[in-house]
Amino acid sequence: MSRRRTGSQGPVPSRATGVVLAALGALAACSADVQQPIGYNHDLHVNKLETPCETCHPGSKKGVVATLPSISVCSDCHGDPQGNSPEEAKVVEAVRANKEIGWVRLYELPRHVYFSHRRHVDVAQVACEKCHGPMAARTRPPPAALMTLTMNDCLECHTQRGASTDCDACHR
Amino acid sequence: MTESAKPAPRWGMVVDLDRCTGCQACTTACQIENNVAPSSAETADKGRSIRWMDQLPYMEGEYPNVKMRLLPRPCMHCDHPPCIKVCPVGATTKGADGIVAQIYSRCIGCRYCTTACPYTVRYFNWYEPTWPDDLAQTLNPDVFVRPRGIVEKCTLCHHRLQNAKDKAAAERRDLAPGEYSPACADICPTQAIAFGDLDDPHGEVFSQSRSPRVFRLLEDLGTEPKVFYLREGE
Repeated sequence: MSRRRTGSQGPVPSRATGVVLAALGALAACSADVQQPIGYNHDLHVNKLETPCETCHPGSKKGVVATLPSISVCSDCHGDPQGNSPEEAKVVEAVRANKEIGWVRLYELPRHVYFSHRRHVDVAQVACEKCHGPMAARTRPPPAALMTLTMNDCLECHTQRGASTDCDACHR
Repeated sequence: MTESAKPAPRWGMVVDLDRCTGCQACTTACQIENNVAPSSAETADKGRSIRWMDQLPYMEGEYPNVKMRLLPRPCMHCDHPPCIKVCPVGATTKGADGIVAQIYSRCIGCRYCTTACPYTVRYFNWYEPTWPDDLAQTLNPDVFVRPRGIVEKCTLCHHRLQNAKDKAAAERRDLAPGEYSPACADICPTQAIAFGDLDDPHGEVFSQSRSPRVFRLLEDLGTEPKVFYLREGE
């Protein structure tokens, strides 16, 4: 008899877990104390250097999933040091070794929720801060997601903007 | 994100039994597309297999000239769905486009809906879903894997509609006819399954669903199913 196992979508939640997930919210941190491999400075990149979000998160405007930056994105600017920061030195080292930086994802949706960034950011012009909080002002990576959204937050915005509130518009 | 002023389409399906060869490709495509776990012999023995797109066997003709036929049977996505009325937690809903949806995170697994559905298209997950090794790597990431203890059913491949709507919105246009269709209709080698907006007078399903050959399953119950069949041999 062949070995059988559950699907590759990670652990299948129990019924109770599903209910709790729904109650806890649509967008939540996967862990409360996240240590990023590099002390990335959002404020410097976004506010001082005026880098748009989609430069490092290519799907955040034109894709369904925002995505975390690959090393090829960092290599566009950090092939050589731009300053004296020890954190930047780590990036330069990774670029030269062509080694991915293991960024830790902070914002995670339950698997039964469909969310498209392009629909919200590009079409509906929802600001990133609306769901992600003041990430652009951070000089150090936050240890947890800056906002925890519940389904009520989604519904409130959908109602205000006249978007669909059908269950199956977002659930899958 | 603002919805179009156009009336929502009423998605429906027409199965032409003259064209259907009973190959069951629709059943297989549905299982693969929607992460429906294959059942073991023991599970099947207990009548607990899950098949969103099932095949109903029926006899045709009189002895000795009889033939066995198969009738593809997805969820009927009724206009008056009995399953919605009995759900105590609102886990079953009908959207503006007529698709009867199952909200998995709300379902408490009471199985009232599996009893209420006259077409028996609703399936309770008696076990954790499992796949043989290789198949576990090929699950569709767009479809949630339903855990043990909740009810599931055909969604008309609703995730495909979400993707198609998203693409259309990003390109600042309405959804085009034919841009969204479920896996069963796409895979059918004889194009026996037509899918589209039942209210679109230019669409194939509009005329087919008004054909004199048309019938629906258990029509007298008043559930107004949106899956139509075209009878054979006339």
